[in-house]
Amino acid sequence: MARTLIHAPTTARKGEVMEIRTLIAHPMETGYRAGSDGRTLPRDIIRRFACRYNGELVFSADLYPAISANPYIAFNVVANASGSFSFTWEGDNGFAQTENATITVA
Amino acid sequence: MRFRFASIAAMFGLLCASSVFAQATPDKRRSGFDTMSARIQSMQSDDLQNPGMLWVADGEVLWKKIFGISFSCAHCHNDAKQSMKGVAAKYPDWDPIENRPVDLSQRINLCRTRHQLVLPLPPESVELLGLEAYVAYQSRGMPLAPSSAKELIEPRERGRRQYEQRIGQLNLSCGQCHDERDDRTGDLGAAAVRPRRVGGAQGHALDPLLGSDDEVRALVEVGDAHG
Repeated sequence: MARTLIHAPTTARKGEVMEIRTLIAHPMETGYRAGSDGRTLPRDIIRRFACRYNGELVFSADLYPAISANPYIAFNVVANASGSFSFTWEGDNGFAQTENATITVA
Repeated sequence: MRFRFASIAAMFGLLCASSVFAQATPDKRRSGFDTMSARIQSMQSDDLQNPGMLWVADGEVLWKKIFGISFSCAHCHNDAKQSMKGVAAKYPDWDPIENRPVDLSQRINLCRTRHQLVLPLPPESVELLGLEAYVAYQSRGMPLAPSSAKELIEPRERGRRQYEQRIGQLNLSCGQCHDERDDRTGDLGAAAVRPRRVGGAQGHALDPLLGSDDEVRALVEVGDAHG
């Protein structure tokens, strides 16, 4: 289980634009680097990040080998209903992680 | 009688010296943080943009983890938020059993081998860095408070010599960047606010952020006076 840091507001006014910031621990090995034995290290990256707001996809990103280790992704979402966010990272070697956050919209 | 008067005078002098040193507030030292622009300060203050916080979170878990058949760090040290407050600020410190200076990660490993009776963690391993980051996090924002152990005088002197020694292809010493170009900060006693005479290749602070040799001596003397 990879480690994540997620900053999402817990309360918001309706219609407010909220910034959501996420950070996940991942080596993001490019597949181009040589290891200490001279052999190329196999690629191991996160390929896709998605954020769902009450089940609806509100933000997603494709990630590529040039993105650094421990990718930090920040984006804005308009608050329109109370509910939950789910954040999903998927990648090579069956990497998959989901984290959740709840929000109350007044 | 004459001898006694002399010793009283000497004691009085020592008391004056230590009280003068104690009154040397406000602290002239400044963190490098103060010289950053507001934008960089706000970036640095944002823990979420700092991947190092992942290691701090790791360390918090490891603090409570029971290793092998032994016990966790928390068994002896309880809540790190209280017990480890300010601890990292005094390292490297002298270890009387090992008879050498140890830094924070070495201290953690000594705690493992002496008290937890488990193998030391490999240097710079994820676990050790996590524990170190978590312990050091409890001293966040606190000024360095170098150990006053008398045994550290010799290693500090060795560190100072290495710091001033020109080495490498460019024939530069550490001090040529970190001391001699410190006039950028203006008239704020720049030499006192920048890290002078830090340790060898091991990294930070075999020696404190001190302004002058007098202050080093003063610190040592105060340490002596306090036993």
